[in-house]
Amino acid sequence: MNWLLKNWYKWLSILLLLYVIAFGMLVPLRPGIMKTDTFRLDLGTEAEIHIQFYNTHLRKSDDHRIWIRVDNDHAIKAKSFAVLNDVELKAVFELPSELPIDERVAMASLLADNSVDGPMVLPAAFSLVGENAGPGEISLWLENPVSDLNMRWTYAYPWRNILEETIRNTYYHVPMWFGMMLLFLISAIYSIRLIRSDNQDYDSRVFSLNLVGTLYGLLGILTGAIWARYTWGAYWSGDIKQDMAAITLLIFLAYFLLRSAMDPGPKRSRVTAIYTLFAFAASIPLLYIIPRMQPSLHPGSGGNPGFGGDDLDNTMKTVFYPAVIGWTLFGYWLSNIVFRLNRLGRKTEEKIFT
Amino acid sequence: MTLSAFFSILQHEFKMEFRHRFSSAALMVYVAAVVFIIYLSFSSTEAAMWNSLFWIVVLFSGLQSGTLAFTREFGDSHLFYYQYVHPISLFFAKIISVWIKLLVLAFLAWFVMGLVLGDPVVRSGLFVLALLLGTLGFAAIFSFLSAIAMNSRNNGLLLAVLGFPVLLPVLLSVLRISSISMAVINLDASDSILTLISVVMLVLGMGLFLFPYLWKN
Amino acid sequence: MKHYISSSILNHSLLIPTVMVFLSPGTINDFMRSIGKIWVVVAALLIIFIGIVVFLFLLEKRISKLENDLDNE
Repeated sequence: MNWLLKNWYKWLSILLLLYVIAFGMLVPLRPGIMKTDTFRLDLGTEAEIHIQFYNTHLRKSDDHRIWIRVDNDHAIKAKSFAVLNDVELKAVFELPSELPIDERVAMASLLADNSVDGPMVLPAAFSLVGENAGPGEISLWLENPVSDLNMRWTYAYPWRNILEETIRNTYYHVPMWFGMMLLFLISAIYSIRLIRSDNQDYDSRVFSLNLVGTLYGLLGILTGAIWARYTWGAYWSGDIKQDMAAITLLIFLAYFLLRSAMDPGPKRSRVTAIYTLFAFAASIPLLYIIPRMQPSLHPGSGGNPGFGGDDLDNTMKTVFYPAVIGWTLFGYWLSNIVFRLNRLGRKTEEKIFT
Repeated sequence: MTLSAFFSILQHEFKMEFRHRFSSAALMVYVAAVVFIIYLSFSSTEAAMWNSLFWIVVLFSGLQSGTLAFTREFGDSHLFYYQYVHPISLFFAKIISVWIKLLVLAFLAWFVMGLVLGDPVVRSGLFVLALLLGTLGFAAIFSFLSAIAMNSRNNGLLLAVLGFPVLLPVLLSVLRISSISMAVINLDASDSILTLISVVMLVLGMGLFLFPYLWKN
Repeated sequence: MKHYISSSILNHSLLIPTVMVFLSPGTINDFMRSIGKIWVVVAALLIIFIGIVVFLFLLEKRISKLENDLDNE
């Protein structure tokens, strides 16, 4: 019992990570619209559109409603449709000859709704092009407004168009960065304690926490690169947060260089602890201030919605926060092993060489 | 730490600088030579390119003068003198002497680059502000890190490795302000200036807080 | 015996083009994008797992070194 209590954070991290991996991988995505076969729609024609869905059960329901929506008030409802299978559908729209807004070209989204799958949307799905488009006969656009959607809560992760299933990486890639920063924070605290007391055990703490923090940072970069490859298009997208994260890693890699360039002893532990504090302070503007000044593909900076708004809904929070705590505790466990080994090595050397 | 003690250290710094004026002169020639190499290899530059090249020149001359910052102090000859000095006033005096040296080098680089490559600066006031703040940040970081690197073997290379990643926040915000001053990007400069000031303050504050512990060695 | 050898050569001659087709960038991309790009998540989890395993191996090497030091005392 005592043993169980003493190792509480290890059990907790294992339980949390099991929960995170199981729920993170098994909870389904909400149904969504994947793609259509047409992008350009000419006004005044009849358009037959082949729509591909994801995670839907189209054959289970017969109350499908499909709209092409220009803005909140103006939409065209599909005249007829044919369900091909559970995830495919053909819809026929009769397009009015004029746009409801004073433009020659308008972006429109595709909206679908049924009682089994709920409402689904594909933003910026079409570009509507008209010969003599302009303000005019808009009653056709108002006839069948988007209404009575089958909104309801389901235990599922949100559907995002380019992300698709990779939204689950929020539980594996993002906590690497949170874990890294938390480990570096603990390491900074131990650095302060070291420069105040010169206790050599704190040096082993700082070293081990920096080591595991750097490992987390490397894993964060690698997982981020593969995520970026299949969502943004390239392993390295020149994104400001990617660049700043790489620089943060360089700063902490320099810690190990500094450490290896000095002889072991109280002087080294003091100097490297001071550098750790300096590096930690320098990484704050790199990770939190500068990325906010420039547009980024990451959420939470530039023109993007903040992390926690649309990108992290309440369902995802139930897994994301445990993931951050679990990965951090696991990292602390790893660092604890490194700490004990490092401490043992120092004691052994003292015993052998003196 | 009294003000008069601080000024006497500063005075001593400049006296030492004058006694070793060869190294300062060498740095000036270094800057002029690098600018001339840039001129010969590019012959003409866009404003954006001018901006990056200028700050790279300032960065490397800062690295050179930073390497020299604490070489003398860690020798034995001045140990006695510095035993009676408060570390914070010593660090401040160090930063200010490196800062002034860097400012002279930066203005020299500006002058020579303007002479041979043309001067793209539109808003001179803003550019001078970027110079003042940027070189202050460089001076603080290089002085602090050279004090760290002096503790190890192979300190010249180590200073570059430690310094460049830490410098990047200052460098990025200073590049932004100076490209605004050259009308390369059209933005309100106040945000970037605030960022730069906060980054420089952070670095200065950390340096002042940590230097006494470093000096105890 | 000869029969076995020839059949294994035959197998390889069929296997190599198959592997090459599978490993071509286009196929890998198609594979990674299938089933709503779920394999990207699997790849991320694998990277983390492999990273931690490599870390543990390096740690174990340090332990062996320490053991050697103690034995040679």
